[in-house]
This record gives sequence, C-alpha cells and structure tokens, in this order.
Amino acid sequence: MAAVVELNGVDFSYGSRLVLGNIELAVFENDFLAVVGPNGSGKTTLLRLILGFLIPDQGRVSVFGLPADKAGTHIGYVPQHGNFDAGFPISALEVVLMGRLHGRAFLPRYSEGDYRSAESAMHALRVYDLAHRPFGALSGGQKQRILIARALAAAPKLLVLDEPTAGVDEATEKDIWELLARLNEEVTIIVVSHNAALIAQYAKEVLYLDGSLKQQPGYSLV
Amino acid sequence: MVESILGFLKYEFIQNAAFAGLLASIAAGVVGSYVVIKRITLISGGIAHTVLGGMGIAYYLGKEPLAGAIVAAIFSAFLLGLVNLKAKQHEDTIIGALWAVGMALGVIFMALTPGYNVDLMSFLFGNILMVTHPILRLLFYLDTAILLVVAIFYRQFKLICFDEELARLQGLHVEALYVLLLCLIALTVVILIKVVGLILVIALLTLPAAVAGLFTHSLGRMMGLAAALSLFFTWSGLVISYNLNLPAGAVMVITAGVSYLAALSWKRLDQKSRREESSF
Repeated sequence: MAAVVELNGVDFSYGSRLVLGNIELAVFENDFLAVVGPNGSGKTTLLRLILGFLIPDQGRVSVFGLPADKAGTHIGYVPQHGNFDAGFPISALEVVLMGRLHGRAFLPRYSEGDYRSAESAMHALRVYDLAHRPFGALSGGQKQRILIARALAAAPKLLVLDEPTAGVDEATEKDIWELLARLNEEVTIIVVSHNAALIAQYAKEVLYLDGSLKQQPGYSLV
Repeated sequence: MVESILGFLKYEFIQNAAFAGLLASIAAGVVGSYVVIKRITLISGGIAHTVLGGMGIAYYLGKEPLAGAIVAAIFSAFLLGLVNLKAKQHEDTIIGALWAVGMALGVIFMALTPGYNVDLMSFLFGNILMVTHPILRLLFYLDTAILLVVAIFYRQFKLICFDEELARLQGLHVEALYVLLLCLIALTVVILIKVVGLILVIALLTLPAAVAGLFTHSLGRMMGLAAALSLFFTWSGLVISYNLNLPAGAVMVITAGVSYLAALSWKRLDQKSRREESSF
C-alpha cells in the first residue's frame, strides 16, 4: 500500500540548530496520527515540512507520491485559530468558501458548487448557523470548527491540523477530538498537539518528539 | 448662504477638482481597504516617497512628472515585493532607506532643474485646483485599470491578505499577487499625489478604509464605504478650503483624521454600552 505521507531520512535545522534529525515516517490511508511533545521539540516543523512550507536539509518528504511542495492542493490544512486578525472584514461562510479557491479563480463570485460544498461542510461541523457572523467575533472553538469546515470544503483525502485545541476550554477540546475521530472514517488525519494524555484516547498512532534527537523513536504503525 | 458657499462650483477648475476628488476617492477606497486589512501602510509610504524621486527626475529631464511618478511607483512596488520575499527580516529598515533616498532624489533633481521652483510644494502638498483635462483623463485610465485588476483578482487578493499559507497551499501565485497588489497601491499613490500631495497620501489611503472597517464585516462593503467617505472628505475639504482660503489637501486630511477619531470613540462607547447591557 502506498503511503499518504512519507518522510525518509529527513533532517531540518534552523541555522545551526538541528530540530529534526533522520526522521523516518510513513502515514497510511485512514491513519489518525498525533504528533506530540513539548515546545521546541519540532512538532510544528514536522508539520510544515509535510505541508511543503519548509524544505528539508536532508532527505525527502513526499505526500501522495508527490514532493511535499507540489502536493498542497491535496491537503486540507487547519491552522491555529489564534493566527487570524480579529478585525478582518470577513464572514464565517466566506472563510469556508476560501477553502474552494484555486489559482485560476477569477472575478469576485464563487460558483453554486462552491457554495454547496462550503455549506455542507458547515452542516457537518454544526456551524451553519454561524455562516453570516463575522469570523473575528466567534469564540475559539467556533473559529476552529469553521477552519476545519474550510479544510473539508475541498474534500481532501488528508487533513493536517496544527494544535486545533489551543485556547479552547476542556469541553470544546473533547468535542473537537471526537469530531476528528468521526471524520477519520473518511480522511487520513495528522494532528499536532501538546496534550499527549488526551489525544492518546482518540488517535490511532502517536509520534512522540521529545527534542533530544538521539531518543527519537522511529515511527511505525501500531 | 448655500449659494455663496457652493457658488464656486461654476468655475471650471473647481469642477475639475471635484472630478479629480471623485477619481481619487474610488482608488483610495478600493486599494486603501487592502492596505488596511493587509497592514502594509509602511510599505505604501515607502512607495509614495520613492514616487517623489521619479517625479523629480522626470521634471529635471523635462518630461511629464506624472509619467515619472508612474515609472517610479511601479519600480518601487517590484523592489519592495522583492524585499518582502528575499529579505523579510530587514524589511522595515529597507523600506525606511528607500523612503528617505527616494525623497532626497526628488528634492535634488528638482533643485537641479533650472527655473522657478514652485512645483516641489505642489508635489508635497498636492494641487487639486490645478488639475487639467489631460491629467483627469490619465487619472480616469489609472482608475479603470485598478478597478479591472481588483475585479479579476478580488478573491485571490482577499485570500493572500487573510491567510497567505492557505493561498500558497491551494496553488495561488502568492508572490506575483503580492507584487501586483503593490503595483495597484503604487498607481493609487500616483493618483493621490495629484490630489493631496505626497505628505498626505497615506492619510487618504488609510483613514477612509480604517473608518469603513469599523462599520462593516464585508470587504466589498468596506471598499464602497471607504470610497464614499473619501469622497466626502475630499469634497468637504474643497468647500472648506475654498471658503476659508486654506490649502485643500491639508483640510481634507484633517477632516478624515477627525472623522477617524470620532468613529473610533463612537465604536468604543458602543461596545462598552453593549457589554453593560449584556451583563444585566
């Protein structure tokens, strides 16, 4: 079976500081991989390598058999909701619609099909009633659901999430993990989280990065 | 009384000024909204000051200063786009350098130009009352080009402003779009220089959009409202400056600045009273 995501002998450093060394990783269809570890252990770096935002110093990152920086359109990416400017003039529905945008989308209007996909993603996440609210005015948990809906609007086969439960309360956190476990029936999921205890109940595989490269276990399927 | 205040509308130069104000307001509202939401006021300032260099050189060579302004504006848009992509960590220092050097070049070339130097002041503070028909036509073409590009790339620009990473992931040409957006800002700066002058460009580019942004959550409506506000500022500035015999550009900006402060205070009070209501 071909891997959805594959890292072979990947090294990455910021300047002279080696963050990831000799990483071997294979993620297969319908995996639910949690990448956990303390701050500075390279979790986010690993994610950004998979997304193709960073290029490894050594080794190879491939996603659906393509080099990572060419595979972006096949990935549904969910960034942290805290990254966004609260004053940006945009509605929740527009945020979700953005998930449908591509490099040859001209003129201001989205198509009927774009609206249908966006709205059904919002129904699936139970956030359709927020459609016309300003995105910046939503709570952390609501924003996170909108961003997950945005990623799903393009019907990706792989969902990549960066700390989806940062800055939300405990009940919402559980809610989001349960939601992801449900989504996992359809899509492969890679999620970065600092909450190793809780995510272990939902994820099928856990990759622990502890920042000391020597002890890093090679990742293998459970 | 109304007749005596608005009686000046019968003069052709005033009609031209009013029309120039309209064209400037459309560009300022639409492009200014992008400047505000992407928070690139400093970059826009850098472009504006480089434009003075281009105008000075054109002036020295005996060419139309506006042509020099357009060339310099586009040049600096590309240069700043490149800086953003290749040397982001030094971006604000480089903008500062470009800002000062552009302006110094402008001043030097204007000083080198033989003859009576009235034009430096009109570049710095604008001279909307001297706008001629050929200039109006040029401003009209610039406006049309800006609106056309914004219409075509409206959604893509919005995405690179909101979430550059997602834009990259979804295969948008982020770098090219960013430089194109800077070029639109550059062209808008050229139009605004004619109306309020270099010193006040940033005010007209950002204040109407900032006020509009306080009252709407849609980018399209923000652009429309910003254009309408900008029109109000320029036209009321014209009326006030004519009647009180003050420089038009400065009066326009004071009107805009006061409105921004008023809108901000109103918004604060409104939010506070809502919070108090909801706490009962």
